[in-house]
Amino acid sequence: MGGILSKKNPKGFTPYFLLLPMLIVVFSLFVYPVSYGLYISFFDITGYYNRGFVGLDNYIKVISSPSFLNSLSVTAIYISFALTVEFLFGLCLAILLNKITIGSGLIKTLMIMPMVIAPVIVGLIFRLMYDYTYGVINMLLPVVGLGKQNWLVQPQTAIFAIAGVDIWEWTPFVTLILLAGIKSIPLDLYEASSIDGASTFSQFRYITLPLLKSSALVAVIFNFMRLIRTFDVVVMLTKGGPGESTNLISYYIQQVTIPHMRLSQGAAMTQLLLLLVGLISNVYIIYIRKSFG
Amino acid sequence: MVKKKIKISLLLAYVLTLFALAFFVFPIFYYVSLSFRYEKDVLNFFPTEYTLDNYITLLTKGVHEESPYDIFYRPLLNSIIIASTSTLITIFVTVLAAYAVDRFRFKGRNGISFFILSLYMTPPIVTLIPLWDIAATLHLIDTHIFLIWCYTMFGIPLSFWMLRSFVMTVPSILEEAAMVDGCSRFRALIYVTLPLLRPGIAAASILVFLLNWGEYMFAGTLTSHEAVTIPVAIAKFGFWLTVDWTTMATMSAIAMVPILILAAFIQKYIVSGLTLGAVRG
Amino acid sequence: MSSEPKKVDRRKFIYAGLGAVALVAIGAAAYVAMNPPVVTQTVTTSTTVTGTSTTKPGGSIKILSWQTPIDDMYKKLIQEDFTPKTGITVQYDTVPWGSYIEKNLVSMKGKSEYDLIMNNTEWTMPAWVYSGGLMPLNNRLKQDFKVDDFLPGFLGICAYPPGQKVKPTGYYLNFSDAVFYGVPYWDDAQPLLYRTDLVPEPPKNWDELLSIAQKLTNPDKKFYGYVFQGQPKAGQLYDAWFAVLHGFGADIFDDKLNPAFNTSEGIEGTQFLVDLYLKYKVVPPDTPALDSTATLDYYKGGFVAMIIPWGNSPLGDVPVAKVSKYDIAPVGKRVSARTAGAAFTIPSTASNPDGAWEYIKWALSPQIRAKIVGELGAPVVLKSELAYVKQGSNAWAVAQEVARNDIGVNPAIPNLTEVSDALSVPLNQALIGQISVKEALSQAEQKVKDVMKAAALL
Repeated sequence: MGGILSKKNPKGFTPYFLLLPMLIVVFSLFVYPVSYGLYISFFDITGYYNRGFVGLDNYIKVISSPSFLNSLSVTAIYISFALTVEFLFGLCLAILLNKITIGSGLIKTLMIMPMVIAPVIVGLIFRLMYDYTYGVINMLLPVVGLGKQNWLVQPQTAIFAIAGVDIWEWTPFVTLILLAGIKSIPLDLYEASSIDGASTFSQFRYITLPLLKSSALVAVIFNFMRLIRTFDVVVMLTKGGPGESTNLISYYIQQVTIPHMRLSQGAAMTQLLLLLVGLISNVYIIYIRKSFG
Repeated sequence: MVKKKIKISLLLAYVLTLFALAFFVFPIFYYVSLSFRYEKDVLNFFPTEYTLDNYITLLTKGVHEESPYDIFYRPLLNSIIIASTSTLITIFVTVLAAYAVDRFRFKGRNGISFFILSLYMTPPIVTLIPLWDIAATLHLIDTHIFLIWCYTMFGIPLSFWMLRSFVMTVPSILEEAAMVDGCSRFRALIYVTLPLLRPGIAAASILVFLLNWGEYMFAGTLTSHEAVTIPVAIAKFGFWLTVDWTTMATMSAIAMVPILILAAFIQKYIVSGLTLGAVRG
Repeated sequence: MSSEPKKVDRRKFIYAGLGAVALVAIGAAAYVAMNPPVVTQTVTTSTTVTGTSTTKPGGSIKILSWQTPIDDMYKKLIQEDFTPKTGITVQYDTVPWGSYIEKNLVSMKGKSEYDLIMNNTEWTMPAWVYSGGLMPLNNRLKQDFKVDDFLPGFLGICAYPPGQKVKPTGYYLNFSDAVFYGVPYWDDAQPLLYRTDLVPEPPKNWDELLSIAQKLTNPDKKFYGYVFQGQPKAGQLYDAWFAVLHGFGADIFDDKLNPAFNTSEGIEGTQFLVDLYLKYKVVPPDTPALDSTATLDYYKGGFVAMIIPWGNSPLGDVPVAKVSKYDIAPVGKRVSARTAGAAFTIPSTASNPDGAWEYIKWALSPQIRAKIVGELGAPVVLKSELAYVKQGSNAWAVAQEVARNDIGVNPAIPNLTEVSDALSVPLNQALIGQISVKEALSQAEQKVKDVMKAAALL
């Protein structure tokens, strides 16, 4: 801890004074919009009419709307797939990079490249790469003996193609976090255990993995929060199609509210989403508290 | 024999790393190379000739005369203004807040930290919808000011988190020493603590800037042609008449390459920023 | 971070509850402050006398349009001719098409900042009419123009039956009692564009098109006889499908706004379109993902022989332009095309409606139109302008189609985007073979019903 200047706290207002700018920003850009959204979600407002108070009607409509439920399930599939692959892939890479000593600076530089590019551009890059006739991926697959796929047109592959973009972009992130975690494990543990006759595999299982838990949790929660807000990629690659198979939740809500002009239904959806995310993060926090005491 | 085994596994590690790096870096290079080609070579793997034409056209007169918004300097300028201004405000605001939260004991101290951090959990769509309606009613759509203001929110949780961890590493004894010498609290903050916070501020501002530079959802929804930023220009205008891969690649390259070069130089800051707090020592 | 004491748990609920109430209260206050309650205005048959002023209005007007080359020319002529003549300064906002719809709909909120809007008749104007946001232009129109001067098809799009806010079939041709919410400005249609070197005679109907396409398609050489938009978003697949549907004799709605496309004609037409991709394979394999720019690209690049694009999309200076010609789209029971465009409209909250009307008069005056249509090749709106178009050009083909009385028009409903998106999902699924056409149309019918009910239009 840096230390507390409690002595020099005469009126006790200075901290609030320093906090004020941030509170203004947060209030005007979070508290106010969310409450405004909550308010209009109880009305029936679209871009072309305002029918007044309807109570919980919007919420009922939304919860029973198959499109909304479809969007939630698509998002769930997307998130769980991306989380798993990014974690496993990142873990392997972290172990790999742990062995590398030369050129780690260069490697890190190259690794952060996918992350710092604007997601729109990443979407563009992959749009070209996923193209059936002219995309790089379909050009290379036959070389390895696999067949070409119409990645973005088939509903079975589309959602995974979108996940692939995020995987490409953010696995380095997971890797770097896990790598830092690995490097922070004291080497004595490994030495002691190998004296006791432990194999590399058991070392990995009983030392590395448990001690990586905190880094892993951080990586997972960051990924989760980022995956839920996926929007740019959907716009650039599939626009929710084919059918409704890539209607990720952030994209779906935006489509309902702005092109389709259903303002209060969109507001109701955002409140539900907020509730959902709040629940998930509370579960997560409880889990952290339990596992770390 | 054992030495050979170790050497082989090390070699294997290097080879695999090379493949991994190629996997992550190849698409970028491939795409940037498109900006140096003529339209006819786009669909080939290797081009037949190289050219700088795309850059010249894009930056001077725009590609399609019918659409004045292909003149790229306007989105470029907008992006720079909006991203930098909002980053400045964010950093300013969070430095003060991080300092206050760490150095003073007051009611709600933990509550505020917790609240700010939990803000990060909110998908931005939740605030976009109401903000869009508010902006539309107040005729603030497509203004720079509104977009800048919206952007200040994005960086706050991340920046607050990083700066708070950083402030914690700076002992308050230094400020107290300065205050004993007659400095007011504020002067102590500015002249003593701030310089020590520089690496943290640098890391935070870089990450926040990158976040704001590439943001699309808010920019795409809240602008139409005046305050358009680069991501919006790429997403909407590049497809004006043709799917012009070379133009798109050029726009993307202009947006990407400076960032990538910058990232190369400050890689240490970025990595430390990302992993800060991830490893609780 | 230090852990919080466990006593807080119960208090948390109270705080949460208070917080929620506070939130709603804040939101309510904010909403009331920002939006004085807006009652949906009922549209009355307007008999308000809006006399034209005899003095020069002066002042300034603000115009919103989407970017076309025509706007550029108008802007030039405004400076040279309009402002000096009338003393009205013009601020002409043009926006790329991609951002136009949103900008237009956003400007509906509150008091409009524009005096004149080139309103897209399909995607934006119906919402304006429905919410009562447009000034009826009857008296002015009849005073300063002759209704007969206009190409009837397009004027019919701007006309609404008295007392109605929506038009299920898009046209209203009874000009004597119609309420005009707009004056035709720019129209477009879907002509057939084909390669004269490969297609000696343009196909007159769909069977001919299919047989020509089958002869020309050569997948090994990556050449296809035809191409259409299959992308389900942004009205792309809808564009292609509507044209075929209309040609086969089915409509989207009946006059009670019930879905009317799930009929034998509708199934036949949809099946034909789907077969082009799945059965006959005369279109490129990525058709289900193509939008109108991509399809036109295919044609420009020399990969397809025929296409039905939007008439006003220029071919540009590509090699195939020299061997291309436009003609009327294939005719089934009706011509397989749709017309749409933009109309001059004046928002009811405009600050200078007289100035806006002066502009409309000037913009459609013969000398100006001679330049716009004659020199630039803009679409024809007045019958007198038919003299300017060249046979075989896109403007000619568009004018031919619009002059027919069987061309298709989109239903004028405020939530067309939602309807077309809802429709397009099952259609796209049928296109890629996931479900049958019958199944797709039943699903589409149900979805459209749901959407229309949700908007309280049905």
